[in-house]
Amino acid sequence: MYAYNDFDAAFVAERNRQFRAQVERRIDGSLTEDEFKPLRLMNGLYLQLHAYMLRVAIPYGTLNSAQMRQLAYIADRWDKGYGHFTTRQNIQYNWPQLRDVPDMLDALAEVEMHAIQTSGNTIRNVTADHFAGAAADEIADPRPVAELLRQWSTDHPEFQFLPRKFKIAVTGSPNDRAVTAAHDVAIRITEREGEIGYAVLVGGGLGRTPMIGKVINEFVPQEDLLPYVEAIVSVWNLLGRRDNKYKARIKITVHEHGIDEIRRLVEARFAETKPAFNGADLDLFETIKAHFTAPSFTNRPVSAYTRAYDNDPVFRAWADTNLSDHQAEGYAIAQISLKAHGETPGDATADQMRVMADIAQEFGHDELRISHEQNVILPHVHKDDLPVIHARLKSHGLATANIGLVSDIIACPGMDYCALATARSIPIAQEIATRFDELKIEHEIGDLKIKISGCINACGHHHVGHIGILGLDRAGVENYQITLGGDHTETAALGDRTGPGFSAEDIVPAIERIVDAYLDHRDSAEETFLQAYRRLGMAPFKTALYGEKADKRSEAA
Amino acid sequence: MDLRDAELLTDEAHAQLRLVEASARHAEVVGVYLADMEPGANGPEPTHFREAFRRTGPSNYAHGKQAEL
Repeated sequence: MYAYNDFDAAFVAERNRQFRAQVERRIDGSLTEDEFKPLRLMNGLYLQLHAYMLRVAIPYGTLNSAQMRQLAYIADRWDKGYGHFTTRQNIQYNWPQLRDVPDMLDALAEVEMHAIQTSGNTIRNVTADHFAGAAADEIADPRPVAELLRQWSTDHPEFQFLPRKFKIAVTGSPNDRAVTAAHDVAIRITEREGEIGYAVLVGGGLGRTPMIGKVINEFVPQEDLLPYVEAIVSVWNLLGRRDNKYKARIKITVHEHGIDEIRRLVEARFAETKPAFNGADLDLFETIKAHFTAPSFTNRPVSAYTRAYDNDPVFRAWADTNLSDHQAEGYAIAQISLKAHGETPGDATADQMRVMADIAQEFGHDELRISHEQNVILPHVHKDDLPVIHARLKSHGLATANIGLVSDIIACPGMDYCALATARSIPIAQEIATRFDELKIEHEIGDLKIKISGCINACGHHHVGHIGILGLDRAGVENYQITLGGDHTETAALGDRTGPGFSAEDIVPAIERIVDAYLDHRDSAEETFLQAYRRLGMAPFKTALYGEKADKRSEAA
Repeated sequence: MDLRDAELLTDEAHAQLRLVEASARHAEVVGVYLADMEPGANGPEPTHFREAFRRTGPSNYAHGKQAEL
């Protein structure tokens, strides 16, 4: 993985030194909150309902064991012994004291991490496929591209005061696991006649005006990537609606001007940016690539794996749901679920972080990944080591066999923490997971993604959930709207609203009725929820939710 | 600080004045705003769930003000 050079280390140290002085001036009263706010937002420090919150970037979701141990240390030393992994490959600490934040940032810098550009109207943490460098279906590793973009976008002088925040995601596989179509810019590595290039999408985003990204260029050659992305951001920087923050994101700019006009403007701007790049970016890209060489895989038998798989049903259930195909023979990608039934989605205790770090160091080529689905991944593990890994995970509450199932729920922090939220998300996720665990039917249900947001900003990706839940405030009461048929993959789609929302008490039974309707109507166990919804449409689910009469009435209307 | 001892402001002009005063104490508090309350047996009660959550803490852990009581 990438290792800081002297420039990187000096840059982060200088920023931390500046912020320490700013915090001192805030505490001694020389700065008011209004004066301090833009400074703290430059460094990922938010103010939430109960305390400050520090959002730390995990670039393209990649961590080594030393970094994970340091995250655990920070959680123990300055927070309440846990951290929350988010849908954009960040970790959030919910309880820092303002005076401790500079020390937390220095502790992060010790392991080459920071919180720069995790807030504010800047280019945010560049995310990537969490199976990067390991997936069997990969064309090329997206992480060197993501790291190049990170370096280019960090403190980019033209892009520090953008109309609004700007998010970039990169995938190196045709199977999109990084929700790229819901990003301001999506970069999809493609191959044309043996040459690597990038399909670029622009104008995706969720929030109050959800949009699927549109293709602006089918094939940007490797050497043109940075000047091309710079041209996109530069065009939007001038066109973007600074008069209305709800219309400022690039998705609205693309919608208002049309993709063809945006493409023309970007091409014109590219003619200017391209000559300004002198090739240093290409040299840098080669240097970065050298940091991401594959580990040296070994070829050995998998007899311990086969024995455990054949004899231990608990291990087999975990292997069936939590493992994915690896590029190398005898290896697997193992997902560690942070969705134990009834627990908070995406939370890990400091002890759990240390357990995962130790396993990665001993068995996993020292690599860990954080997924946008709020789970942790061991990208390179030999199958023969999996029984030992599983046993160790199990003894720390980390062996839940539910990846991709109904209890593997994405949930934003919601009104339990977030100042923007209109309703709670976490308790709803906990209750749904607990309920389906009691029913013991989640393996029978199969692939089903529930995503919950506690407000219209959609951090919980509800629009692209197979079942999406949006928590709102309706006349001073929490109310939950349901959408069906969303899809976060390469066939991205926005869900359709079922109808009126449900109260906090009624939402879990409502979800159960939807799942029951699916089980009743599917043509076989092989037909997934999403496939069944696409075949059947909304009608049977609406009937299940609101009864026959309500369904007829809404059809007539 | 015990919220049971909190004072309930019923006069809008008085409330605005108190808001200005509270906002000036920027070394002690941040993000000051007026919240709707009604009198209760144990002092003022929030009329909205947002403030009810704020004066206890998150529902997933016993952290926040509920842990300090």
